[in-house]
Amino acid sequence: MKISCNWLKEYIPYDFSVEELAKRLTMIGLEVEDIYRFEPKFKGVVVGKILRIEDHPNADKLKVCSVDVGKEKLSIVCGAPNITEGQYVPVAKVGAVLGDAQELKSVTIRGVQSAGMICSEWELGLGENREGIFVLNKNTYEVGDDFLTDLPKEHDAVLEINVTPNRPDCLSHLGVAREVGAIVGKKFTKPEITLKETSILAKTWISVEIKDPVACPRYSARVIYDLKIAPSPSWLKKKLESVGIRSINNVVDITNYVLMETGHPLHAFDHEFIHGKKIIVRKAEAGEEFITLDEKKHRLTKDDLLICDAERAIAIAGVMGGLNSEVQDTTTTVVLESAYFDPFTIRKTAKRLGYATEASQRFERGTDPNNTLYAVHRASQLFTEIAGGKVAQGVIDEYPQPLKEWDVVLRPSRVSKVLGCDIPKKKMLSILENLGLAVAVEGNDSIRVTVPTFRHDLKQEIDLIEELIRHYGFDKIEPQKYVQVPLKHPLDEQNATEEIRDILVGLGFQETLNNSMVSEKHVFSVEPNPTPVVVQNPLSPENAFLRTSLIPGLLDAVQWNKNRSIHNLRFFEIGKIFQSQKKSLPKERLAVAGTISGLVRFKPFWGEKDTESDFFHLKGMMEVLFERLKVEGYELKPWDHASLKSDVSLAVFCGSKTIGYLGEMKKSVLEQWDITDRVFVFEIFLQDLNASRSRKITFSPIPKFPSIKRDLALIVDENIPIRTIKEHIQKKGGKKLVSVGVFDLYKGPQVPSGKKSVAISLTFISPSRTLKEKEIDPIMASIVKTLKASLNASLRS
Amino acid sequence: MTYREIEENIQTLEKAFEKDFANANTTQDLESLRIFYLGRKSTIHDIFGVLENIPPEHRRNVGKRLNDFKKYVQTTLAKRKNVLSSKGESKSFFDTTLPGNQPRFGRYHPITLVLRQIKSSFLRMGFTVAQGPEVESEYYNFEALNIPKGHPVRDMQDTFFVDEGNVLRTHTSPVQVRVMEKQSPPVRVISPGRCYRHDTPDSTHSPIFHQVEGLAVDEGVTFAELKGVILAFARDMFGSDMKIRFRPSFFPFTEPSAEYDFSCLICRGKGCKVCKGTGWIEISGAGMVNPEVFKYVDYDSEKYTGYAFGMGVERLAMLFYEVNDIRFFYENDVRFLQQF
Repeated sequence: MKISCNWLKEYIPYDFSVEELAKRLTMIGLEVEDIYRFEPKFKGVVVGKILRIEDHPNADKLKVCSVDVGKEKLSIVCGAPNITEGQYVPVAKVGAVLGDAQELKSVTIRGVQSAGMICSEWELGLGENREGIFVLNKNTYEVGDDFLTDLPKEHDAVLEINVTPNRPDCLSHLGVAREVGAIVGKKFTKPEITLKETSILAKTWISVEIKDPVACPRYSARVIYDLKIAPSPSWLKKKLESVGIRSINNVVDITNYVLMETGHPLHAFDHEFIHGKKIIVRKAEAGEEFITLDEKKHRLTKDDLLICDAERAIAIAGVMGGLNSEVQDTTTTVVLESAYFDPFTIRKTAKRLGYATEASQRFERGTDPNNTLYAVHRASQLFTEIAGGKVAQGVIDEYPQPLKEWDVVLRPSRVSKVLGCDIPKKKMLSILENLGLAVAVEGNDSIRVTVPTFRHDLKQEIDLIEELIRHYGFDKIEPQKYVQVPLKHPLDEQNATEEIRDILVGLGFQETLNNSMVSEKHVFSVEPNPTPVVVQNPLSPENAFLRTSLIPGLLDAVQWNKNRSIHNLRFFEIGKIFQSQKKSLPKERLAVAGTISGLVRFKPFWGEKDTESDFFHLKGMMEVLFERLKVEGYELKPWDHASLKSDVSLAVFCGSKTIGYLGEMKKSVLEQWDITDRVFVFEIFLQDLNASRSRKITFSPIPKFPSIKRDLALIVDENIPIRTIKEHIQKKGGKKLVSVGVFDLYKGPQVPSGKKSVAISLTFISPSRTLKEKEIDPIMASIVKTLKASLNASLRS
Repeated sequence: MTYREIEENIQTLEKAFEKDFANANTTQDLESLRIFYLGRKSTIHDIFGVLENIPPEHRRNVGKRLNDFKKYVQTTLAKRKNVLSSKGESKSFFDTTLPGNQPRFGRYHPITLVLRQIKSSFLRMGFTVAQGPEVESEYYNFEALNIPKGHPVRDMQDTFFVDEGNVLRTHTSPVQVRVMEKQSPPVRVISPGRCYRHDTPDSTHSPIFHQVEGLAVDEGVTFAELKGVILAFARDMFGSDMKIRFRPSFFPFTEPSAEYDFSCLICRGKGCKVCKGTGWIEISGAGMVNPEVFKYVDYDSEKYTGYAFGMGVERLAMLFYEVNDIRFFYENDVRFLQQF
């Protein structure tokens, strides 16, 4: 809402600067977001009149204008599309300065001399319009005047106030004046109205019938006749323009002026077009069509409220008038509507039709039902003063169930209890009174407050407490020294998540955050049968699904960096993934996922050759992660995953549960991200992971006796997994065998084709005594025997 | 050897050692001296071997002379050896200016870093952490927070809608309601998490962002405590000279409602471009829990009072690290992420 300081002063005098006013308003909840003040960034600009326009001899789009600037006539080349002869325009003469630019010189444009420049609003820094020249009002300017000293915006400051949705009463100059009054401790003054009515009764011109008193509790109207549509006087134009409203004609301008003054929207119908001299307020028929004055056709529903005449609709109530009853240049009689509509009804219609008009914005937040008469009288007065109109006798006022003020009881003790600060009772009373509320002290701890109908937001005691502290000032509340004995922290899950973050960062992974909203393509590319949650109103089709896996987002990050020639990446993210569920909130799972691609090192090291990341780098890091987290009894088993290469894919099992997976992404999937690097990925579901973690750490004694190490060099079929060999060894190794490790793997000319050589180290230990070599020999023999028998292994000599 | 001969030998050795030692310039030289004077084939070694033949009245004397000499040679050689090795007498050039063999390391996302700081502050003030779903029913996201259907305040938060009439939560405030449904006062929780608003991305808007919402409900909880907590947080996060300011505002779930500001982090309150000369930076909203909200969770609003506050993690991170575009946080450009 734009508030002109000059205008505001007409209702409440105050004697502080614009900055101070802005600060004080902000501190009572009327946040001033901007102060517009005219600060000219030009000099040497005068008012000129375009006398003659001729085509430029050498350019189609340029014209040569002869411009009267008072003492002389200048020839100026101009390319603006909106120039016409007779216009008053700002002219920058030779020697003028615009903004930070150099002094203007006489220039030759395509062979024609131009002795200056006709300016647009934008060139003068007065507005955003740069399409055409700034056309000035002939009534306000004299040809040859210095444009600077005669600017309408001069000396005024306009505040852009962010009015919160609960305060529709502040969407007007009088409303803001009331608040300023409470700041300075004075009551604001409303303009007094004296109306001269003629003897012709308004009733004879029009009657009003409300068919839906819920949607339209009150409809007031006056009839003004014999008026003459004309441009508004310059004071009115300037005022409206200062708050960002374009002047149209005296009738429209008056309704807008009263709107900006009182906050009450008015609508003027041309009486000529009201068929049957009757106004009916009713709901629309389903499918009823209506053309609003912006020439748009709407199909209405039974929820929309219409203003109709005896035959047809003439306005969508509270939103916009109709093309069929709009005030025109020939209009002489208007019916001036000043109604109160139900906020929800107006909001529904405005929202569905996509309108946020000055009127609808106020009606949907709630106007004052008991202010309709003041607004219509105020406008009628202006019609007689400005538009030469005559006011018919009597006001039409249909108000079947008058809305009354209500009482709220305020306990001063409660004020202290909520705020933690004491406001003197006298101060409470004066704040409430200055806000226009009636107060009556009823006892030691009870103040009866009567709330007028313009404050819909004050329904309960707490609402009044807010009013008090708003004007008393939050800065008067002394911050309480905060000391609190920490409660028990049920933080296990949190800590577990942070632990994983720490480990992965330690393993060289860069943490990322990716969009939870992904494209359909990406959802289906990483999982064959997902049940994704669909976003009904996505920002773009690229973001129409909630992610069912963190992998697509990570691949986006890989792609982004790859496109910037950064390839050696290790990324991870911890975040939620979603699956749709019928008739309930979706299943949300916290997951951790990561990718590795490119070289092992982020930067090359001079002492070592770079190596490509491979599956075993990833697997090793996963093993470290699980070990660090003490995940009990996890197993990595080969499995099939739609987006992973079938032979480079493992599932992480805990018991019978799959808690995650790892592997190499299929080329065909990576192609969707234009990634040609190999990418290894993992994804683990944290709730399942945490369930498998052993939290209790129990010390086990460090072995007191030396261990015995034996190595085995086997030649086996290359298709036999190491896991199988280990299982056989462990079966025969008995309790004393505490570890089995692989320390070499060889395939090549040294072994027969189809075979591989595997070197395995075995460690034996006893907790109670020193083992003897000859105890181990039979165990080794039995291991070798079973490997030969079951796996057709042979010992490598 | 007679005692006399032995005496002479020792004296000769002492002189010879002084002379040889003066010419010893390398550790190898020192090692040869050690072998020559103290080794298995040395005169000293021989003398020790015949010590038992010495008459008892001289034996102790000779023994002492031998041991003194041995000790002297050892310490003298050791001292010189230390000097020589600390001079780095090795001949080959060892270039310590070559880059080190760095293990690969990762980094935390800046949002994680700021979130951790926020959590740490409030945990130390006795708050616990509560979490809730990112997809919420309209009931939790709006209704139970006193934002009824068809109310203009729903326009304040542009919402993503998903299946089954649910929404992507527009704030983490629904967690408040979920906590109060489960727990009786006293309540002191913060709820950090991801939120969603239907905003077209630009330098200050992102459709996904993180919020931390705080809630305290107990007997005797006041606005003054809210101010105390926010002040403590501001100073913990940004330094002990931080000031705070509360301005009245409007949120349906709090009343009185306020926006709170911190003194400008750039000019520390003096007024600069960033704070538009006001000395203040807008942080977020706060207020006393509206009794209407207590109705939804069956809290007695006569007995209990409460406050709630919010904060945008991206906004704090932008202030903290002077990041000028919110979109950096979700592009995951390594050149950005590596700076934290």
